[in-house]
Amino acid sequence: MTATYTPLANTTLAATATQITFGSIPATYRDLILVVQGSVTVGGGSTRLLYNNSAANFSYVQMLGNGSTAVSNQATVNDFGGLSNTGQSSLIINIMDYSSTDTHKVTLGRANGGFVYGIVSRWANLNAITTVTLQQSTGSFTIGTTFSLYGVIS
Amino acid sequence: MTMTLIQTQTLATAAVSVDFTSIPQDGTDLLLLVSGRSNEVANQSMTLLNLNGLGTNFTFTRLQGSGSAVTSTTGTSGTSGFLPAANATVSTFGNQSFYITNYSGTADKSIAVEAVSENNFTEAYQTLQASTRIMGAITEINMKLGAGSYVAGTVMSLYKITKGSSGGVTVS
Repeated sequence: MTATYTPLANTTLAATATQITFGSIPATYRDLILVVQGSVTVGGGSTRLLYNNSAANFSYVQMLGNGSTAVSNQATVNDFGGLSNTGQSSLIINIMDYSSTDTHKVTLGRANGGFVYGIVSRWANLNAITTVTLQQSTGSFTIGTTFSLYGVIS
Repeated sequence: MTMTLIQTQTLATAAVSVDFTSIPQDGTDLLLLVSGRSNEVANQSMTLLNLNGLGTNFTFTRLQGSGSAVTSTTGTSGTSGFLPAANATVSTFGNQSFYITNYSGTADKSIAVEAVSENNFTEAYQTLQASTRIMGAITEINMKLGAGSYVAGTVMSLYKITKGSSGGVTVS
């Protein structure tokens, strides 16, 4: 059966970390899929994505549910909800058309922890993405958290 | 290449449940895609995800829109959004996606659920849900409905996604 995900890189934390970077991403694929599974040491934070080491020129809209209230908001950052500090949780992030040099970059994300998030962001930059960095705003990613990057062919 | 089809099941007749058994343990994540409809006499049917034959030991946080309201709830079951039922627009099927990370490992499972029930009336549901299941390796997935049966024409496809390295991408 034809498959569409090409594994590019992965890591499992042997020590806590506040930041993970995938670098030297080739322009071979159409989209990137980033899957994170694990937890964080402190709750209430968020996972921010930087592209090519830049946190500038982003805008996002998110909707989230905390189990009692549904909320939607927007900001000029590239935050994708947060992992849980009380159990296993996950982030699934689709970076669309990452290798293009004539479009802004749209990212779709789901965060699945104590809260549930749906996020869409736009990076107002025409450069191809060659580096993706995940930064935890509060605390650290815990030991055993896994990060997997895939390329999707067109 | 790493997104590999494990099995597709297309119902020729109505069925109370759809089961994927003996799931190979050599992948990283699982993705289950559903196109389905229920014969329950209602507008929508709730769906139930069971893992290894059990619908217990779940916790979830749900975000759901109905076309007129948005709500967020929590729960402790395998309920996973709605599919259209017998009173919904004819010949209209809903869709679901279940992404299960690190399914063959020993840690508890995080499950990203998305569901949409289509209906050409005022009641239709879109659901985003974060579920966690306390358990070890997943060897079986059982999809059920709260009431009624899946109709003929319901299709469910299970894929495994396997991590790896290629292309010179670095991690630091």
